[in-house]
This record gives sequence, structure tokens and C-alpha cells, in this order.
Amino acid sequence: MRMQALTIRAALGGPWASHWLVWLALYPPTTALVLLRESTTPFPEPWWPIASATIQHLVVGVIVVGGGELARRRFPILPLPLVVGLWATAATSRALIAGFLAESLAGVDPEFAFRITVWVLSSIVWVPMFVYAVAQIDRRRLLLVALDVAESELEREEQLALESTDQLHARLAATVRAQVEPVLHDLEESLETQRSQLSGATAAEIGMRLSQLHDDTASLVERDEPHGDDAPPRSRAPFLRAINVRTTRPVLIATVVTVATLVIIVPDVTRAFGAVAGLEAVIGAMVAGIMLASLPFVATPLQNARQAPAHFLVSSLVTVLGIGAGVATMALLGALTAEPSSVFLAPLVGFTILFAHSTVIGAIVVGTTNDHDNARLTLVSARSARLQATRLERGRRERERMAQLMHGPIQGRLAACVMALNFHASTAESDPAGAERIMESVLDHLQAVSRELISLTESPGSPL
Amino acid sequence: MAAPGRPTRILVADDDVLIRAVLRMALSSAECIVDEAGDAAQVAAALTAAPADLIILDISMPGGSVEETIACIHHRAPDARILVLSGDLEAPDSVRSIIDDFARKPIELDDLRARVNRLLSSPEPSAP
Repeated sequence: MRMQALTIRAALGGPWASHWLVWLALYPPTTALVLLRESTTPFPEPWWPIASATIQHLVVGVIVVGGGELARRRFPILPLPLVVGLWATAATSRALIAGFLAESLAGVDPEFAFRITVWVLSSIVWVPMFVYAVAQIDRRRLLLVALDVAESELEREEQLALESTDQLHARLAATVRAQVEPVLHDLEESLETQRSQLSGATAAEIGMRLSQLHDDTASLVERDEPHGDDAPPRSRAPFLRAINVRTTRPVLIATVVTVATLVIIVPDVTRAFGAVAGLEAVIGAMVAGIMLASLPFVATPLQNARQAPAHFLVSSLVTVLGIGAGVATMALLGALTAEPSSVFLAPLVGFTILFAHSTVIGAIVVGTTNDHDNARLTLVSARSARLQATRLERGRRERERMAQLMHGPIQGRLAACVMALNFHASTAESDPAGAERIMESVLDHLQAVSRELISLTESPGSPL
Repeated sequence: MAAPGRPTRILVADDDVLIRAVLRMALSSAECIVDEAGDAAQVAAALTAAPADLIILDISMPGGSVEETIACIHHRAPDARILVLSGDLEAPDSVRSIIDDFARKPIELDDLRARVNRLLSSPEPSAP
């Protein structure tokens, strides 16, 4: 079993690019951004910023989810220019709606150029990363199930490979004996008890039952050994298991998180609260970034410990400490500069870093872990397939040998008994003495078949 | 085909004594003599003693391969028809062109008698 690697095109053009769940998940962070941006807009009612955010998001939904759905009728994987076009159109629409509402309701400059630039830039930085992260997490949930199945198959094949040829022979012989002996004894008893008054019809009926036994005996050893299942996994692993990955490349992650946070926060903070507040946000984000880059190295001994806690718990602890450092820095700076907006900005920066960190972990760490586990899946599946092929070939050779062993002594005798009983059915009345001799021979043959079955289970396997 | 005036001679060649007994009893009549052979050597001896018109031959007999036995039959009784009985579904490729008929065991005795009658009345034996 092997899963295709998730390319950027497949991730960004796949179902998650225009999925309603992604659209819904982006509502809280985009609303927080709108609230920040409109915090200085003198709307007539305090709920207008939230209304503006909601209207913007609904329009984005129509464009991205609706437009994506229409486009997918033609392109199962949307071309990247089309995806970029949808997101850019959505970003521009947000800016236009927000500017229009600000102008018409608050009587302020709509600042269309600023709004469009910031929204488009934010979308370029954030949306692909978020969609890619969601796609990688979803893929991981499938991959983990596939890996579980493959490792279980490998374990099974390794166990089956331990079976010696003698054990295989004994297993096949026991199967044959268990199926054939009860029927055989039943037929022997029927013949013994009825031999003195065996009618033609009864002889024919017993002959038919023996004929069925003859055919069933042949099919017993022709039955194939169980194969594994090659169907792709249908279920997904739990979400928590999918995100339970060891954080790697902390410096890269922290850098991306810091840049993404600065891109989305600093322009609006500076515009709304001034350069000092903007600088505080920059310093807070960078302190958080430095902590996020360095704390994982401190946590490495904890992750390497024998009773290590789950990876996502360690990652969560690092995130909380990193964000806490950034928020505390902003609060301290706010106190030092008497900047009142830091009460509101510090948690906003903290929330943004949290969202960015989660997204980047999903995109980079989960993606890297997926590549590694996909390679492992390929190796495990290949080894399992090799063991299975060897086992099936060995089974085939042993079944062939057993069929040859049974051909004359068991099947041949059963065929002879069938023919004899058919003959008996037609001559019992015209030649009773001859019929009686036939009956004696049939019973001798059936007893010989019983002895051959016992001998079959006691004989060794082939020296393969 | 038997020569005019002499009874038909059938050789039943099978290592299973019950099969030989059943076929003998099923095919014996005033017009038909049934001989028996339990291995390849007995087949050769029986054909030397008296030529057969039809040989009903089990595919796996002791003393030699079925191909060798058929070659011996062709040598000692070139005009004889050959009906091979086997537990397999089909005749092996190596004998398909050198026998006259093939049937799977167990065979219905009516079916057997019909094949025997058809073979004994056919003009040409199998090519060696």
C-alpha cells in the first residue's frame, strides 16, 4: 500500500481550498482583525464592526465556497491561478464592503487602497498556509490508519512466516481430515446398517453423497491462503492523534510565525493606535518568536525521556510559554509607556501568534512527518508483500503436494466407491451376490480412506 | 472394432481393484470379454497374450507413466481404441492427441457404456 505525496497544487487546489469548514474556521480570526481595524471608526452603533465582519465573511463564503463549487464541476483539482483569483477577489470584496460601510455609516475616508492592500497581503500570507495545514492534517489522519493497517498486516505475515513446512502440512491435513472424516464415517455407518437390504435408490443416494465428498475433498486443498486487504483505508485517525507530532525545525517555524503575525497585525495597530503601539506589537511578536525558537531545544530532554508526555502537550506548553512571554513583554512595555491600547493589543497579538503557530505546525511539521511516515508505509507494505508472496508460494507448493498425496489413495478410492454404488444401484436385484461383493469392497475402500486420512496428518511436510 | 465372429475384447487397466471389478461386471457379456491389468507390466502382458479392441486406462498406474503405457499399447495393439479415465477435469496435453477419449472419474456407468459402444464402432483408432 502506498499513498501519493500531497503536492502543493493538490493541497491548495483540492477540496480544502474552498471548503465551508475552512471558511467557518477563519471567521473568528478575521473578525478579530476587522474589530482591530474598525476600532477607531466612529460607527453609530457599537455592534457595526461585528456586523461588518459578518457581512464581509458571508460575501467571502459566496465567492470562495460557491465559486469553488462551480469551478470544481470542471476542475477536480482547481488550477492555482483560479484559486489565487478566488481568494484575491474575496480579499478585495472584504476591503470594498468595509470601506463602503465606514464611509456610508461613519462618514470617514474609506481608505480603499489601504484596506485592499492589507487584506490581499494578509490573504497571500495566511490563506495558503492555513489551507495547506488543514490538508496535511486531513491527510495525516488517513495516513495513520493506513500505517496501522500495514503494520498489523506485517505483524501477521511475520507470524505466519514462522510456520514451518511441517506445521503448514499438518494444518492442511487437519483441515482435510476435519471436513472429510465425519462425512465418511456417516456414510460408512449408513452402508453398514443398510447393506443387507440396500435398495437401488438408497445405493444411488449414498453414491451421490460420496460423489459430493469426492468433489469437496478436491476443493479443500485448492482453497487459497488468506490474502491481505489492499483496499484504501476508509476511516480517519482521531484529530488529536494526527496533531501529536514532534516539533522539528523550531527556528524556521518561529520565523514564519513571527513574520505572519507582523504582516497581519502591525499595519492596523500602527494605523489605529500609533507608532508606539505598533512598535510594542513588533517587540512583543519578536519576543514570542525568540521564545518559540529556543524553548523546543530546552524541551528536547523531556521529549526524549522514556515516559515522555505526548508531543502535542509539549508543543502546547512551548506555545503557551512563548506567547506568554510576548504578551508579558507588551504588557510591561505598555505600562512603561503608559500606552492604554496594550490592554487590548497584548491578547490580540497573543491570539494571532497562537493561530499562526498552530497553522505553521500543521503546514510544516505535520507535512514533514507525513512524508516520513509515507516512506515508512511504503517500506512496511513492501516487506509485508514480500513475506506474503513467499508464504503464498509455499502454501501453493504444499497444497499441490497434498493434492497429489490425496489423488489416488483418497480421491481415487472415493471415485471407485461412487462408481461401485452406481453399479450396485442398477444390479442389486438382478445380481445380489455380485452386489454383496461390491458392497464389501466399498466398505473396505472407505476404511482404507480413513486410514489414509490418518496417515496424511502423520506424514511430514515436503522438504522445501 | 472386433474382427467378425470373435467377441469384443476390452482390457480394463486400473490399479484400483474395485474399479476393475465394477467395470468388469458392467461390461462383461456374451459378446464382450473383459480382461484386467493392475499395472503397466500387466497391460503389456495382457496385450501380448490377447489383442484388445478397447483399453480403458487409468491415467496414474504404477510401473510407468501414462505416455509410456500408451506407447506400449500402440506398439502391441495398434488397432485398439484407448479411453483414459482420470480424476482430473481434462486430459493432459501430452496424451490428448494419442488417445481416443477421456472421461473424468467417477463416471456414470451409462455414460461409460455409451462411450465404449461409440469407440468400438468408430472406424479409425488414435494416431501414435
